[in-house]
Amino acid sequence: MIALATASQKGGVGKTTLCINLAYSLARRGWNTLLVDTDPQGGVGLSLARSTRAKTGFYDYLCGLERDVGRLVLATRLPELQILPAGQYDAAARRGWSPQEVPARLTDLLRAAELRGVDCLILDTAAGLNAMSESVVKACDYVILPQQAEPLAVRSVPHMLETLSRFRSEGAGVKVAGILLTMVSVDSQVSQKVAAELRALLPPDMLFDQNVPRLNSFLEASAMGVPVALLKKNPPPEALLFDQIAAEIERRTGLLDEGDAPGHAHASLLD
Amino acid sequence: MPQATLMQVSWIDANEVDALLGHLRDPAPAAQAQEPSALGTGWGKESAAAEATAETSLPSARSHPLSHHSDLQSFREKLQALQSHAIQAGFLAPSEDEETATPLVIALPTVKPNPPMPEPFPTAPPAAEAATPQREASWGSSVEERFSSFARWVRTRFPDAGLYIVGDQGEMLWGHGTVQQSLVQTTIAAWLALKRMGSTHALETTPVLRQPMADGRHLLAIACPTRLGLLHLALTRALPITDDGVPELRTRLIRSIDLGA
Repeated sequence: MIALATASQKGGVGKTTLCINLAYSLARRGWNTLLVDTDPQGGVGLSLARSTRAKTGFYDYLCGLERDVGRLVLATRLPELQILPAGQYDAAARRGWSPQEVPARLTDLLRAAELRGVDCLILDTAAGLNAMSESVVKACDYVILPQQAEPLAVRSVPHMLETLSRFRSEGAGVKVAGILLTMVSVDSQVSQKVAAELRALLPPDMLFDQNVPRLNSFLEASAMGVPVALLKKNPPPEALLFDQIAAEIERRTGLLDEGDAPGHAHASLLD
Repeated sequence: MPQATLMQVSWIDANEVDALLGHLRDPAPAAQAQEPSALGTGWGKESAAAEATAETSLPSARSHPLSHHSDLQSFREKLQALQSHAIQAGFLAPSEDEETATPLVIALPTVKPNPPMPEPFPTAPPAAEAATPQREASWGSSVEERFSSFARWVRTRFPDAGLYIVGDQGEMLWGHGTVQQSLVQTTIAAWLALKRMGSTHALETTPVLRQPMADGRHLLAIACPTRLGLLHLALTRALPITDDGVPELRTRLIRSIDLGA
Protein backbone atom coordinates (compact mmCIF):
# COMPACT_ATOMS: atom_id res chain seq x y z
CA MET A 1 0.00 0.00 0.00
CA ILE A 2 1.10 3.55 -0.63
CA ALA A 3 -0.25 6.56 1.25
CA LEU A 4 -0.39 9.71 -0.80
CA ALA A 5 -1.31 13.19 0.43
CA THR A 6 -1.90 16.42 -1.41
CA ALA A 7 -0.48 19.64 -0.03
CA SER A 8 -0.62 23.25 -1.04
CA GLN A 9 0.05 26.56 0.66
CA LYS A 10 -2.72 28.18 -1.32
CA GLY A 11 -6.39 27.29 -1.36
CA GLY A 12 -8.47 26.79 -4.48
CA VAL A 13 -5.75 25.16 -6.53
CA GLY A 14 -7.83 22.08 -7.28
CA LYS A 15 -6.67 19.69 -4.56
CA THR A 16 -10.10 18.23 -3.96
CA THR A 17 -10.90 17.94 -7.67
CA LEU A 18 -7.58 16.20 -8.14
CA CYS A 19 -8.18 13.81 -5.24
CA ILE A 20 -11.67 12.79 -6.35
CA ASN A 21 -10.76 12.27 -9.98
CA LEU A 22 -7.43 10.66 -9.26
CA ALA A 23 -8.99 8.25 -6.75
CA TYR A 24 -11.61 7.34 -9.34
CA SER A 25 -8.97 6.76 -12.02
CA LEU A 26 -6.80 4.64 -9.75
CA ALA A 27 -9.84 2.57 -8.78
CA ARG A 28 -10.77 2.12 -12.44
CA ARG A 29 -7.24 0.91 -13.05
CA GLY A 30 -7.84 -1.82 -10.51
CA TRP A 31 -6.28 -0.45 -7.35
CA ASN A 32 -8.21 -0.69 -4.12
CA THR A 33 -8.37 2.98 -3.29
CA LEU A 34 -9.50 4.76 -0.15
CA LEU A 35 -9.99 8.50 -0.41
CA VAL A 36 -9.76 10.22 2.96
CA ASP A 37 -10.91 13.79 3.48
CA THR A 38 -8.87 15.46 6.22
CA ASP A 39 -10.05 18.96 5.31
CA PRO A 40 -12.46 20.19 8.01
CA GLN A 41 -14.48 21.85 5.25
CA GLY A 42 -15.20 18.38 3.94
CA GLY A 43 -14.63 19.28 0.31
CA VAL A 44 -14.59 15.69 -0.91
CA GLY A 45 -17.92 14.87 0.67
CA LEU A 46 -19.50 18.14 -0.38
CA SER A 47 -18.33 17.55 -3.92
CA LEU A 48 -20.00 14.19 -4.09
CA ALA A 49 -23.17 14.24 -2.02
CA ARG A 50 -25.23 16.69 -0.02
CA SER A 51 -25.78 14.22 2.80
CA THR A 52 -22.13 13.68 3.69
CA ARG A 53 -22.11 16.66 6.07
CA ALA A 54 -24.13 14.62 8.50
CA LYS A 55 -22.00 11.53 8.20
CA THR A 56 -19.26 10.52 10.56
CA GLY A 57 -15.74 10.23 9.23
CA PHE A 58 -12.10 11.10 9.65
CA TYR A 59 -12.46 13.52 12.57
CA ASP A 60 -14.73 11.13 14.46
CA TYR A 61 -11.99 8.52 14.08
CA LEU A 62 -9.34 11.00 15.12
CA CYS A 63 -11.00 11.92 18.40
CA GLY A 64 -11.96 8.35 19.19
CA LEU A 65 -15.73 8.71 18.71
CA GLU A 66 -15.50 5.73 16.38
CA ARG A 67 -12.54 3.38 16.38
CA ASP A 68 -13.64 1.08 13.57
CA VAL A 69 -12.68 2.59 10.21
CA GLY A 70 -14.98 0.09 8.51
CA ARG A 71 -18.02 1.79 10.04
CA LEU A 72 -16.99 5.18 8.67
CA VAL A 73 -16.09 4.24 5.13
CA LEU A 74 -18.61 4.93 2.37
CA ALA A 75 -18.96 2.54 -0.55
CA THR A 76 -19.16 3.86 -4.10
CA ARG A 77 -20.39 2.41 -7.36
CA LEU A 78 -16.92 1.00 -7.90
CA PRO A 79 -16.01 -1.77 -5.47
CA GLU A 80 -12.40 -0.60 -5.73
CA LEU A 81 -13.16 2.91 -4.48
CA GLN A 82 -14.20 3.81 -0.95
CA ILE A 83 -14.40 7.18 0.73
CA LEU A 84 -13.78 8.26 4.28
CA PRO A 85 -15.47 11.66 4.55
CA ALA A 86 -14.21 14.40 6.86
CA GLY A 87 -16.97 13.66 9.33
CA GLN A 88 -18.33 15.94 11.97
CA TYR A 89 -15.42 18.25 12.59
CA ASP A 90 -17.24 20.53 15.04
CA ALA A 91 -18.48 17.69 17.20
CA ALA A 92 -15.02 16.17 17.17
CA ALA A 93 -13.37 19.51 17.95
CA ARG A 94 -15.71 20.03 20.92
CA ARG A 95 -14.72 16.65 22.23
CA GLY A 96 -11.09 17.47 21.45
CA TRP A 97 -8.14 15.31 20.70
CA SER A 98 -4.65 15.15 22.01
CA PRO A 99 -2.23 16.76 19.55
CA GLN A 100 0.49 14.28 20.44
CA GLU A 101 -1.78 11.42 19.52
CA VAL A 102 -2.54 12.64 16.01
CA PRO A 103 0.51 11.01 14.35
CA ALA A 104 -0.23 7.73 16.11
CA ARG A 105 -3.92 7.86 15.17
CA LEU A 106 -2.89 8.49 11.57
CA THR A 107 -0.58 5.49 11.73
CA ASP A 108 -3.51 3.46 13.07
CA LEU A 109 -5.60 4.68 10.14
CA LEU A 110 -2.91 3.59 7.69
CA ARG A 111 -2.74 0.19 9.35
CA ALA A 112 -6.49 -0.19 9.25
CA ALA A 113 -6.46 0.69 5.56
CA GLU A 114 -3.73 -1.86 4.94
CA LEU A 115 -5.78 -4.49 6.75
CA ARG A 116 -8.76 -3.66 4.54
CA GLY A 117 -6.64 -4.46 1.50
CA VAL A 118 -6.25 -0.87 0.35
CA ASP A 119 -3.56 -0.45 -2.32
CA CYS A 120 -3.65 3.29 -2.51
CA LEU A 121 -4.67 5.65 0.26
CA ILE A 122 -5.24 9.22 -0.87
CA LEU A 123 -5.54 11.94 1.74
CA ASP A 124 -6.94 15.31 0.78
CA THR A 125 -5.74 18.10 3.06
CA ALA A 126 -6.84 21.60 3.93
CA ALA A 127 -4.98 24.45 2.27
CA GLY A 128 -2.07 26.08 4.02
CA LEU A 129 -0.34 23.19 5.72
CA ASN A 130 -1.88 23.73 9.13
CA ALA A 131 -0.95 21.43 12.00
CA MET A 132 -3.33 18.68 10.87
CA SER A 133 -2.21 18.83 7.25
CA GLU A 134 1.40 18.76 8.38
CA SER A 135 0.79 15.62 10.43
CA VAL A 136 -1.05 14.03 7.51
CA VAL A 137 1.74 14.77 5.04
CA LYS A 138 4.35 13.47 7.49
CA ALA A 139 2.40 10.25 7.91
CA CYS A 140 2.33 9.56 4.17
CA ASP A 141 4.78 7.88 1.83
CA TYR A 142 4.34 10.50 -0.88
CA VAL A 143 2.98 13.98 -1.32
CA ILE A 144 1.65 15.57 -4.51
CA LEU A 145 1.98 19.34 -4.73
CA PRO A 146 -0.74 20.86 -6.91
CA GLN A 147 0.35 24.30 -8.05
CA GLN A 148 -1.99 26.69 -9.76
CA ALA A 149 -0.32 27.96 -12.95
CA GLU A 150 -0.35 31.62 -12.07
CA PRO A 151 2.55 33.77 -10.84
CA LEU A 152 1.53 34.34 -7.24
CA ALA A 153 0.85 30.67 -6.68
CA VAL A 154 4.09 29.33 -8.10
CA ARG A 155 6.14 31.86 -6.16
CA SER A 156 5.29 29.77 -3.12
CA VAL A 157 7.03 26.71 -4.61
CA PRO A 158 10.35 27.36 -2.81
CA HIS A 159 8.44 27.88 0.43
CA MET A 160 6.68 24.55 0.03
CA LEU A 161 9.91 22.74 -0.83
CA GLU A 162 11.52 24.34 2.22
CA THR A 163 8.71 23.09 4.43
CA LEU A 164 9.00 19.57 3.03
CA SER A 165 12.74 19.74 3.49
CA ARG A 166 12.11 20.58 7.15
CA PHE A 167 9.76 17.57 7.49
CA ARG A 168 12.52 15.34 6.23
CA SER A 169 15.11 16.87 8.51
CA GLU A 170 12.71 16.09 11.35
CA GLY A 171 12.79 12.46 10.31
CA ALA A 172 9.60 12.13 8.26
CA GLY A 173 10.03 9.75 5.34
CA VAL A 174 7.57 11.46 3.03
CA LYS A 175 8.81 11.84 -0.55
CA VAL A 176 7.66 14.29 -3.20
CA ALA A 177 5.75 12.45 -5.92
CA GLY A 178 5.86 15.64 -7.92
CA ILE A 179 4.49 19.10 -8.47
CA LEU A 180 1.34 19.07 -10.55
CA LEU A 181 0.46 22.18 -12.49
CA THR A 182 -3.25 22.86 -12.19
CA MET A 183 -5.69 25.36 -13.65
CA VAL A 184 -3.42 25.96 -16.61
CA SER A 185 -5.24 28.37 -18.87
CA VAL A 186 -4.84 27.97 -22.62
CA ASP A 187 -6.04 31.51 -23.19
CA SER A 188 -3.69 33.18 -20.75
CA GLN A 189 -0.15 33.96 -21.83
CA VAL A 190 0.89 34.46 -18.22
CA SER A 191 -0.43 31.06 -17.24
CA GLN A 192 1.41 29.48 -20.16
CA LYS A 193 4.58 31.31 -19.26
CA VAL A 194 4.41 30.21 -15.65
CA ALA A 195 3.96 26.60 -16.76
CA ALA A 196 6.87 26.85 -19.19
CA GLU A 197 9.15 28.48 -16.61
CA LEU A 198 8.43 25.89 -13.97
CA ARG A 199 9.00 23.11 -16.45
CA ALA A 200 12.34 24.64 -17.47
CA LEU A 201 13.36 25.16 -13.87
CA LEU A 202 12.46 21.86 -12.28
CA PRO A 203 13.91 18.47 -13.11
CA PRO A 204 11.42 16.12 -14.81
CA ASP A 205 11.10 13.84 -11.79
CA MET A 206 9.86 16.77 -9.73
CA LEU A 207 7.10 17.86 -12.11
CA PHE A 208 4.27 15.73 -13.46
CA ASP A 209 4.31 15.41 -17.24
CA GLN A 210 0.58 15.96 -17.29
CA ASN A 211 -0.94 19.35 -16.47
CA VAL A 212 -4.50 19.92 -15.35
CA PRO A 213 -6.09 22.65 -17.46
CA ARG A 214 -8.71 25.11 -16.28
CA LEU A 215 -11.93 23.73 -17.73
CA ASN A 216 -15.60 24.26 -17.06
CA SER A 217 -16.26 20.54 -17.01
CA PHE A 218 -14.54 20.28 -13.64
CA LEU A 219 -16.99 22.80 -12.25
CA GLU A 220 -19.89 20.97 -13.85
CA ALA A 221 -18.73 17.64 -12.43
CA SER A 222 -18.42 19.19 -9.00
CA ALA A 223 -21.90 20.68 -9.29
CA MET A 224 -23.31 17.28 -10.17
CA GLY A 225 -21.33 15.52 -7.47
CA VAL A 226 -19.40 13.15 -9.73
CA PRO A 227 -15.87 12.62 -10.97
CA VAL A 228 -15.48 14.19 -14.39
CA ALA A 229 -15.36 10.72 -15.97
CA LEU A 230 -18.97 10.16 -14.92
CA LEU A 231 -20.21 13.47 -16.28
CA LYS A 232 -21.44 11.84 -19.48
CA LYS A 233 -21.91 8.34 -20.74
CA ASN A 234 -18.84 8.77 -22.90
CA PRO A 235 -16.36 10.61 -20.67
CA PRO A 236 -14.99 13.92 -21.98
CA PRO A 237 -11.32 13.93 -23.03
CA GLU A 238 -10.26 15.71 -19.86
CA ALA A 239 -11.34 12.69 -17.82
CA LEU A 240 -8.40 10.87 -19.37
CA LEU A 241 -6.04 13.44 -17.89
CA PHE A 242 -6.52 11.81 -14.54
CA ASP A 243 -5.83 8.38 -16.00
CA GLN A 244 -2.54 9.78 -17.24
CA ILE A 245 -1.79 11.25 -13.82
CA ALA A 246 -2.73 7.93 -12.22
CA ALA A 247 -0.31 6.19 -14.59
CA GLU A 248 2.41 8.64 -13.64
CA ILE A 249 1.73 8.03 -9.97
CA GLU A 250 2.00 4.29 -10.48
CA ARG A 251 5.42 4.87 -12.02
CA ARG A 252 6.62 7.52 -9.58
CA THR A 253 5.59 5.70 -6.42
CA GLY A 254 6.44 2.15 -7.41
CA LEU A 255 2.79 1.14 -7.10
CA LEU A 256 3.15 -1.00 -10.21
CA ASP A 257 6.04 -2.93 -8.67
CA GLU A 258 3.95 -3.53 -5.59
CA GLY A 259 0.96 -4.70 -7.57
CA ASP A 260 2.65 -6.76 -10.23
CA ALA A 261 2.66 -10.42 -9.49
CA PRO A 262 3.94 -13.44 -11.41
CA GLY A 263 1.40 -14.48 -13.99
CA HIS A 264 0.14 -10.94 -14.44
CA ALA A 265 2.68 -9.80 -16.98
CA HIS A 266 0.08 -9.68 -19.71
CA ALA A 267 -3.45 -10.72 -20.42
CA SER A 268 -5.07 -12.32 -23.41
CA LEU A 269 -7.45 -10.19 -25.45
CA LEU A 270 -9.67 -12.91 -26.87
CA ASP A 271 -10.31 -15.39 -24.10
CA MET B 1 19.14 23.04 -14.95
CA PRO B 2 19.53 26.71 -15.84
CA GLN B 3 21.85 28.86 -13.82
CA ALA B 4 20.56 31.13 -11.12
CA THR B 5 18.38 33.81 -12.59
CA LEU B 6 15.23 35.39 -11.31
CA MET B 7 12.48 34.08 -13.48
CA GLN B 8 10.54 36.71 -15.24
CA VAL B 9 7.12 35.71 -14.03
CA SER B 10 7.48 33.15 -11.33
CA TRP B 11 10.40 34.88 -9.58
CA ILE B 12 11.90 31.61 -8.53
CA ASP B 13 15.60 31.45 -7.83
CA ALA B 14 16.93 28.38 -9.61
CA ASN B 15 19.85 27.97 -7.19
CA GLU B 16 17.59 28.10 -4.19
CA VAL B 17 15.26 25.50 -5.66
CA ASP B 18 18.22 23.35 -6.65
CA ALA B 19 19.50 23.33 -3.08
CA LEU B 20 16.06 22.52 -1.69
CA LEU B 21 15.62 19.68 -4.14
CA GLY B 22 18.95 18.31 -2.99
CA HIS B 23 17.62 18.16 0.56
CA LEU B 24 14.45 16.47 -0.60
CA ARG B 25 16.34 13.81 -2.52
CA ASP B 26 18.61 12.90 0.39
CA PRO B 27 17.50 9.84 2.28
CA ALA B 28 15.48 10.80 5.34
CA PRO B 29 18.02 11.29 8.11
CA ALA B 30 16.58 8.84 10.59
CA ALA B 31 19.48 9.32 12.97
CA GLN B 32 18.63 12.98 13.20
CA ALA B 33 15.01 12.32 13.91
CA GLN B 34 14.05 14.31 16.94
CA GLU B 35 12.02 13.26 19.89
CA PRO B 36 8.27 13.70 19.51
CA SER B 37 8.21 16.70 21.80
CA ALA B 38 10.67 18.54 19.58
CA LEU B 39 9.08 17.75 16.28
CA GLY B 40 7.42 21.05 15.76
CA THR B 41 4.11 19.57 14.75
CA GLY B 42 2.61 23.00 14.84
CA TRP B 43 0.11 22.12 17.50
CA GLY B 44 1.58 24.55 19.97
CA LYS B 45 2.44 23.77 23.55
CA GLU B 46 1.01 20.47 24.67
CA SER B 47 -1.14 20.68 27.75
CA ALA B 48 -0.70 18.63 30.86
CA ALA B 49 -4.15 17.24 30.28
CA ALA B 50 -3.09 16.07 26.86
CA GLU B 51 -0.04 14.38 28.33
CA ALA B 52 -2.26 12.64 30.84
CA THR B 53 -4.51 11.47 28.01
CA ALA B 54 -1.49 10.10 26.17
CA GLU B 55 -0.69 7.92 29.14
CA THR B 56 -4.06 6.23 28.96
CA SER B 57 -4.19 5.85 25.21
CA LEU B 58 -3.93 2.70 23.14
CA PRO B 59 -0.52 1.05 22.98
CA SER B 60 -0.10 2.02 19.33
CA ALA B 61 -0.82 5.60 20.18
CA ARG B 62 2.14 5.65 22.53
CA SER B 63 4.57 4.59 19.85
CA HIS B 64 7.08 7.06 18.45
CA PRO B 65 5.16 9.18 15.98
CA LEU B 66 7.97 9.19 13.48
CA SER B 67 8.62 5.49 13.62
CA HIS B 68 5.47 4.86 11.64
CA HIS B 69 7.26 4.00 8.43
CA SER B 70 9.37 1.29 10.00
CA ASP B 71 6.38 0.30 12.14
CA LEU B 72 4.23 -0.06 9.08
CA GLN B 73 6.91 -1.99 7.22
CA SER B 74 7.24 -4.55 10.00
CA PHE B 75 3.47 -4.61 10.36
CA ARG B 76 3.12 -5.34 6.64
CA GLU B 77 5.70 -8.11 6.85
CA LYS B 78 3.91 -9.66 9.84
CA LEU B 79 0.60 -9.39 8.02
CA GLN B 80 2.02 -11.13 4.96
CA ALA B 81 3.52 -13.87 7.11
CA LEU B 82 0.19 -14.40 8.88
CA GLN B 83 -1.61 -14.53 5.55
CA SER B 84 0.76 -17.19 4.19
CA HIS B 85 0.38 -19.26 7.37
CA ALA B 86 -3.39 -18.98 7.12
CA ILE B 87 -3.32 -19.99 3.45
CA GLN B 88 -1.04 -22.94 4.18
CA ALA B 89 -3.33 -24.03 7.02
CA GLY B 90 -6.32 -23.80 4.71
CA PHE B 91 -8.10 -21.04 6.67
CA LEU B 92 -7.77 -18.57 3.82
CA ALA B 93 -8.21 -19.08 0.13
CA PRO B 94 -5.14 -18.04 -1.82
CA SER B 95 -5.49 -14.67 -3.43
CA GLU B 96 -6.17 -14.42 -7.13
CA ASP B 97 -2.51 -13.63 -7.75
CA GLU B 98 -1.46 -16.91 -6.26
CA GLU B 99 -4.00 -19.03 -8.05
CA THR B 100 -3.55 -20.30 -11.56
CA ALA B 101 -5.84 -17.90 -13.23
CA THR B 102 -8.14 -19.24 -15.87
CA PRO B 103 -8.45 -17.07 -18.93
CA LEU B 104 -11.03 -14.34 -18.68
CA VAL B 105 -12.86 -12.15 -21.10
CA ILE B 106 -11.01 -8.88 -21.34
CA ALA B 107 -12.75 -5.59 -21.69
CA LEU B 108 -11.13 -3.24 -24.15
CA PRO B 109 -9.02 -0.77 -22.20
CA THR B 110 -10.51 2.66 -21.92
CA VAL B 111 -7.37 4.55 -21.00
CA LYS B 112 -5.06 3.66 -23.84
CA PRO B 113 -5.54 6.65 -26.12
CA ASN B 114 -3.72 9.78 -25.09
CA PRO B 115 -6.13 12.57 -24.35
CA PRO B 116 -6.54 14.91 -27.25
CA MET B 117 -5.44 17.97 -25.32
CA PRO B 118 -4.53 21.30 -26.82
CA GLU B 119 -0.87 21.58 -27.87
CA PRO B 120 0.45 23.60 -24.93
CA PHE B 121 -0.28 20.78 -22.49
CA PRO B 122 2.41 18.18 -22.40
CA THR B 123 1.14 14.66 -22.31
CA ALA B 124 2.10 11.83 -20.03
CA PRO B 125 4.33 9.01 -21.21
CA PRO B 126 2.95 6.85 -23.99
CA ALA B 127 0.50 4.18 -23.00
CA ALA B 128 3.09 1.44 -23.40
CA GLU B 129 5.26 3.05 -20.77
CA ALA B 130 2.51 3.99 -18.37
CA ALA B 131 0.50 0.86 -18.77
CA THR B 132 -2.51 -0.22 -16.76
CA PRO B 133 -1.57 -2.90 -14.26
CA GLN B 134 -2.08 -6.11 -16.14
CA ARG B 135 -4.74 -7.73 -14.08
CA GLU B 136 -7.58 -9.41 -15.87
CA ALA B 137 -10.75 -7.58 -16.00
CA SER B 138 -13.24 -5.03 -16.90
CA TRP B 139 -12.17 -2.63 -14.21
CA GLY B 140 -14.56 0.17 -13.75
CA SER B 141 -17.78 -1.79 -13.86
CA SER B 142 -20.12 -0.97 -11.02
CA VAL B 143 -21.21 -3.33 -8.26
CA GLU B 144 -24.59 -3.72 -9.94
CA GLU B 145 -22.96 -4.63 -13.24
CA ARG B 146 -20.78 -7.21 -11.50
CA PHE B 147 -23.77 -8.81 -9.79
CA SER B 148 -25.57 -8.78 -13.09
CA SER B 149 -22.66 -10.48 -14.84
CA PHE B 150 -22.59 -13.16 -12.14
CA ALA B 151 -26.35 -13.64 -12.41
CA ARG B 152 -25.98 -14.21 -16.16
CA TRP B 153 -23.44 -16.92 -15.49
CA VAL B 154 -25.67 -18.56 -12.86
CA ARG B 155 -28.55 -18.60 -15.36
CA THR B 156 -26.43 -20.55 -17.82
CA ARG B 157 -25.23 -22.97 -15.15
CA PHE B 158 -28.44 -23.41 -13.11
CA PRO B 159 -31.27 -22.08 -15.30
CA ASP B 160 -33.99 -23.14 -12.86
CA ALA B 161 -32.39 -21.62 -9.74
CA GLY B 162 -33.44 -18.46 -7.92
CA LEU B 163 -30.44 -16.27 -7.15
CA TYR B 164 -30.02 -14.00 -4.13
CA ILE B 165 -27.01 -12.16 -2.76
CA VAL B 166 -27.17 -11.01 0.83
CA GLY B 167 -24.72 -8.68 2.61
CA ASP B 168 -23.08 -9.49 5.90
CA GLN B 169 -25.62 -7.43 7.79
CA GLY B 170 -28.49 -9.34 6.20
CA GLU B 171 -29.32 -6.74 3.56
CA MET B 172 -30.61 -8.09 0.24
CA LEU B 173 -28.26 -6.94 -2.52
CA TRP B 174 -29.58 -9.03 -5.40
CA GLY B 175 -32.88 -10.81 -5.88
CA HIS B 176 -35.30 -8.04 -4.96
CA GLY B 177 -38.91 -8.38 -5.87
CA THR B 178 -39.06 -12.14 -5.95
CA VAL B 179 -41.64 -14.15 -4.07
CA GLN B 180 -39.09 -15.93 -1.95
CA GLN B 181 -37.03 -12.85 -1.16
CA SER B 182 -38.19 -12.33 2.40
CA LEU B 183 -38.04 -16.02 3.24
CA VAL B 184 -34.49 -16.32 1.93
CA GLN B 185 -33.49 -13.10 3.69
CA THR B 186 -34.93 -14.23 7.01
CA THR B 187 -33.32 -17.64 6.77
CA ILE B 188 -29.91 -16.17 6.02
CA ALA B 189 -30.27 -13.52 8.74
CA ALA B 190 -31.00 -16.28 11.26
CA TRP B 191 -28.02 -18.25 9.98
CA LEU B 192 -25.78 -15.21 10.31
CA ALA B 193 -26.95 -14.61 13.87
CA LEU B 194 -26.31 -18.25 14.72
CA LYS B 195 -22.88 -18.14 13.16
CA ARG B 196 -21.94 -15.05 15.14
CA MET B 197 -23.02 -16.64 18.41
CA GLY B 198 -20.92 -19.73 17.80
CA SER B 199 -17.20 -19.78 18.40
CA THR B 200 -16.28 -22.39 15.81
CA HIS B 201 -17.46 -20.56 12.75
CA ALA B 202 -14.19 -18.69 12.48
CA LEU B 203 -12.45 -21.95 11.67
CA GLU B 204 -14.77 -22.86 8.85
CA THR B 205 -13.16 -22.19 5.52
CA THR B 206 -16.32 -22.35 3.41
CA PRO B 207 -19.41 -21.91 5.55
CA VAL B 208 -22.38 -23.38 3.73
CA LEU B 209 -26.04 -23.57 4.69
CA ARG B 210 -28.43 -26.14 3.23
CA GLN B 211 -32.05 -25.94 4.13
CA PRO B 212 -35.29 -27.30 2.66
CA MET B 213 -37.92 -24.65 2.18
CA ALA B 214 -41.68 -24.77 2.74
CA ASP B 215 -42.42 -24.89 -0.98
CA GLY B 216 -40.24 -27.96 -1.38
CA ARG B 217 -37.30 -26.14 -2.94
CA HIS B 218 -33.82 -26.38 -1.49
CA LEU B 219 -31.87 -23.39 -0.27
CA LEU B 220 -28.11 -23.37 -0.58
CA ALA B 221 -26.23 -20.42 0.95
CA ILE B 222 -22.48 -19.93 0.62
CA ALA B 223 -20.38 -17.33 2.41
CA CYS B 224 -18.01 -15.59 0.01
CA PRO B 225 -15.30 -13.20 1.20
CA THR B 226 -15.04 -10.45 -1.42
CA ARG B 227 -13.59 -6.98 -1.51
CA LEU B 228 -17.07 -5.72 -0.70
CA GLY B 229 -16.91 -7.69 2.52
CA LEU B 230 -18.49 -11.05 3.32
CA LEU B 231 -21.34 -11.72 0.88
CA HIS B 232 -23.76 -14.63 1.09
CA LEU B 233 -24.73 -16.24 -2.15
CA ALA B 234 -28.08 -18.04 -1.95
CA LEU B 235 -29.65 -20.30 -4.56
CA THR B 236 -33.09 -21.89 -4.36
CA ARG B 237 -33.74 -24.85 -6.60
CA ALA B 238 -36.09 -27.81 -6.85
CA LEU B 239 -33.15 -30.21 -6.78
CA PRO B 240 -30.38 -29.58 -4.29
CA ILE B 241 -27.08 -28.43 -5.73
CA THR B 242 -24.39 -30.98 -5.02
CA ASP B 243 -21.29 -30.25 -2.97
CA ASP B 244 -19.24 -30.31 -6.17
CA GLY B 245 -20.95 -27.14 -7.35
CA VAL B 246 -20.18 -25.13 -4.22
CA PRO B 247 -16.52 -24.19 -4.86
CA GLU B 248 -17.33 -23.12 -8.42
CA LEU B 249 -20.20 -20.88 -7.30
CA ARG B 250 -18.13 -19.34 -4.56
CA THR B 251 -15.10 -18.73 -6.76
CA ARG B 252 -17.26 -17.28 -9.53
CA LEU B 253 -18.93 -14.75 -7.24
CA ILE B 254 -15.60 -13.71 -5.73
CA ARG B 255 -14.07 -13.30 -9.18
CA SER B 256 -17.07 -11.34 -10.41
CA ILE B 257 -16.81 -8.87 -7.55
CA ASP B 258 -13.07 -8.70 -7.09
CA LEU B 259 -12.00 -8.83 -10.71
CA GLY B 260 -15.07 -7.61 -12.54
CA ALA B 261 -14.83 -10.86 -14.49
